Amino acid sequence: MARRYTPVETRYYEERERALRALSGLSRRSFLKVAAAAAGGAALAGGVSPHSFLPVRVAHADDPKGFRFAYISDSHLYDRKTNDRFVNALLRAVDDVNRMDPQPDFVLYGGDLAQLGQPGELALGAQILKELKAPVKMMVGEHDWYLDLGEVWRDLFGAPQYSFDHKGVHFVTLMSVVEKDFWTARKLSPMDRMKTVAGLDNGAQSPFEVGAEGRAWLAADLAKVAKTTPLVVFSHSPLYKLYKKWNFWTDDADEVQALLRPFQKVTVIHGHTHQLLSNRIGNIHFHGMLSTAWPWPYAPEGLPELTIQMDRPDPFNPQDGCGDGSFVVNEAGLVDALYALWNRNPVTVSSSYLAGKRGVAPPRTTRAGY
Amino acid sequence: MTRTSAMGALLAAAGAACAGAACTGTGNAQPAASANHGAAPMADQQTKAAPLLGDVDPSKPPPYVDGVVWAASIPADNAPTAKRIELGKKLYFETRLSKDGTVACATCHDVTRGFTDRRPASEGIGGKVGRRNAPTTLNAMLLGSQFWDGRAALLEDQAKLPITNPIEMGHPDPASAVAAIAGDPAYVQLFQDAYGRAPNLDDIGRALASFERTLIFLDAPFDRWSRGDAKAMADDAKAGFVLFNGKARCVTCHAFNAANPLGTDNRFHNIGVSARTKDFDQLAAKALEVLAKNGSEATIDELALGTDASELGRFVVSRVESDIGAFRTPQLRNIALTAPYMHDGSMQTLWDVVDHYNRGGEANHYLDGGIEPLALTETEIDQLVAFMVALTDVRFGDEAARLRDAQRAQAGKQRPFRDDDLASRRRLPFEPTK
Amino acid sequence: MRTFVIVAAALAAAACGSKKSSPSGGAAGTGTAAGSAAAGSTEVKLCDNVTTVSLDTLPKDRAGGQAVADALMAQWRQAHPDQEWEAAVKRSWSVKPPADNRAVLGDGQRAGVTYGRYTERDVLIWARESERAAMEGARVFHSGDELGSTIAVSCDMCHPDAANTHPETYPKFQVQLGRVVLLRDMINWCLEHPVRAKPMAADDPRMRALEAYILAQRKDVPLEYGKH
Repeated sequence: MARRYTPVETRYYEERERALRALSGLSRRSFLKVAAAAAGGAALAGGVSPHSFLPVRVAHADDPKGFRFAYISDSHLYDRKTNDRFVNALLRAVDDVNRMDPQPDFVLYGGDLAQLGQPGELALGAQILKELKAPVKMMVGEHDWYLDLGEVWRDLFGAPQYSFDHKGVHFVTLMSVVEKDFWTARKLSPMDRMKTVAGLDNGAQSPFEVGAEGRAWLAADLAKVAKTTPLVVFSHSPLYKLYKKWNFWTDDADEVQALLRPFQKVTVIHGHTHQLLSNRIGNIHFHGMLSTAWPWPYAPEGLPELTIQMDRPDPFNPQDGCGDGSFVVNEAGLVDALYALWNRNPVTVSSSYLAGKRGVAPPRTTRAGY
Repeated sequence: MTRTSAMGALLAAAGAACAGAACTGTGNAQPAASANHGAAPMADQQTKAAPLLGDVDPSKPPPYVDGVVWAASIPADNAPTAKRIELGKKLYFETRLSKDGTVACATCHDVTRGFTDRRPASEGIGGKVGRRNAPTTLNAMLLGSQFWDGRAALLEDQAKLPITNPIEMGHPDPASAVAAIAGDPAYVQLFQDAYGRAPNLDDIGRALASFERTLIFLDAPFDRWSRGDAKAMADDAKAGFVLFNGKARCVTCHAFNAANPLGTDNRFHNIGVSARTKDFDQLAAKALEVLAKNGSEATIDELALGTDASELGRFVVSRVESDIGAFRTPQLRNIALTAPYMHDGSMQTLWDVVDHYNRGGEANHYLDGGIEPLALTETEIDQLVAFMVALTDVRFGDEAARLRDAQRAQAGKQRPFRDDDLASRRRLPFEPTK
Repeated sequence: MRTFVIVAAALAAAACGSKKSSPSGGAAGTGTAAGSAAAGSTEVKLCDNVTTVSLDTLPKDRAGGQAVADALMAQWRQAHPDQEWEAAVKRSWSVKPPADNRAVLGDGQRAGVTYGRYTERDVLIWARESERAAMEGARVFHSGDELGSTIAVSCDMCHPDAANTHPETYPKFQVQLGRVVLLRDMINWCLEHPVRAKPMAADDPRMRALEAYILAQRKDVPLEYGKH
């Protein structure tokens, strides 16, 4: 008898919401208060409180003035015959986002859709992402770019740098993985160039930067935006200098940050680092995104103080330390990050925590990398 | 005991689906009730058990068991003595510990049936059928916790819960159970010798635990081979062991070593067995509701055995989201003797078990991340099964071979869990069906 | 016609000798006649007797001679992409240098012990060999093909610069294996599962190279066996 596999989660998600609302007959806001108190350890009258059993979507209170967008990032696809594992992971992420209720306003794709920039890999990724119900905003990563310097990417997804406004927030997507030419002098073939860039620890490549042209574009774009408008910048590289050897680095970070600093509420959301990563430099908040494909270890030096490391991934679970997530632009115009780590409790890194307020720090790890 | 309306709802759902003893909430075929609830008569069991159980020196760890771990597994107030073991052995077969006098421990943990009952789910008083497959008593002392969801830390705790569970042995309270045997002068004397007190439920649990601690059966062809006898295991079992540690990925949860010889990591994993049939999120919400009003041990016990919430596994005990649908890795010792398999007894043969893992379990939101399709060939599956059969203690003689042949015949007829598309990764777990 | 055998440079010497030995460092332009060639053209062969360039006119000056030598070397490099592997490895990845052994060159009892009379040359040879072993490991570590991965995964995807490998903690109870193992057992576990390659024998040159690189990258970290 042939078994048909249907994703059971799809219908269960709606039921879960209804069941939880019915759970205490409370209005949603009061339920969240109770649930938050319970999660904090206070016992409900007469019984034991639920630990961590909160649907991902209500892991923290959504503000009516705020809005949520989801992200999927760093999928590093090979064609399916070569590697099925990465394909399956991206399918899972798409399933996660499609199950969100209500749907996010849009989905950010954080870069590195392909592993070696092959047209087939990019096309496969585009095909899978088409299954997303919400609109998608694409961002380019170095793995997408350095085989053909962006030809196929532009055909599929358009210009790598663009901006848009949404619900009073100005969003900018940067091309921040520009590398100074290291390949011509050494007469590298396109694939050699791509493979050099594809190695995180390959020192033969150049550091990432936004570049003079990119910065000029950014300055012109921001000139039209009021300094009080909340600003969210999407970037593949972190836009600060964490660890040069792994290109957890943007060479012209100081200049780019200088362009962002005048804005009162600025958040940078970046890919490339495949881990829980948080930082604040002056008034600029930084949130790193998870990868669907594999986790990176933490850099041996340069880790921001605000970063609370995720538990060291167990390689028995090839998806440990991976996942997707979402961001809420809150009433303050800043961003709270929700990391939906697969097979782990979700972790929230709020803008209050980055701003320095105690009591909202994510739980610490007992098994850091070393 | 008062029931909340939520609990009632969960129970009613179970009852509506079940008509008589022929049906378990799991929907698996259950043999019809018999006078002994499917077990061999107690007298028969005691006769057949005698050569198996033999004489034990209570003060020393049994052979092949790490002495430090053995001692650490025994609570301070229940050091083993000959008298305690004798009392426990008598109680193990004592049907008066059930309300209607028909169910003893040995009913569901039958010494002639691998110390389990070889049914998908066990049958208790009044022909009531539960939700969980009875684990074997063999080697149980070396497990990190008892029950599929670990709700009892020690054998002492485990032994007491079925006695007062309404669908197992059914005494309404501890006093009733004690009264059933306290009038028997033999027992009064035995309890006096063993614990220096009158019979009471806690000591019943202690005595049973002392007896069960003597049931160490770790002398299998696998052990003899690993101690140096190259001919003790057949070639296919050796190949199976290589696969077990390699391609089939079993070893990470089912490891064997001197300090932990059972082939379990004592952790709780969702491998997707319940996901076939159950809506986890809805069940979890209802279970939390029930537990919020009454989080007692007895409530957990009832939820675990009598309601759909049984499929939530460890979640009912820990209430941690990643424990939804998770059950404790069972031991693999003597596994050939303890069919059917999984917490709900839904898999009849070891071939079914390997098929389930080969296809990557059943995808669900809480599926353990270590479960993935294995792309095992038919030969490799046979070799894995051969290895598992080689984990049967030699004292059980030919029984393992006989049962393996019966399972092989059964597997030859049907392989309900087999999915070659998933196993070979032609179709991916998160790929929507066509 | 004549056939010239040219030793073009130390690189060519390396090509003609084994990878590790360096028999001679001949200058460009030394020639010896060997064998015959087709009429009307000159075939110029490298000392490996395989790499060949055909010329209509012979070079008249040093620049011309160098051009012929360069052409031969370009052809040879194309056929042997790995021979300049050390340079390639150094360009891409930093491997920590081995210990500095010059302390053994100091004064003392050394003069009276045959086997203690190490020289600077010995110290240099030890350093070169140790470094080379680690670099060989870096090469294998970063190559899915060398590892035999069936899903194009290489070690550096989870362990850039061999981060997070903790070789100083072995032997230890490795939870994925359910028992106490050595570094090479965990390497094999990773090969089998995340990398989906065939496990290597303990004395496989690739396994030895991987261990060398991983241990080299953890230089100066104290041993702590059993650490999770």
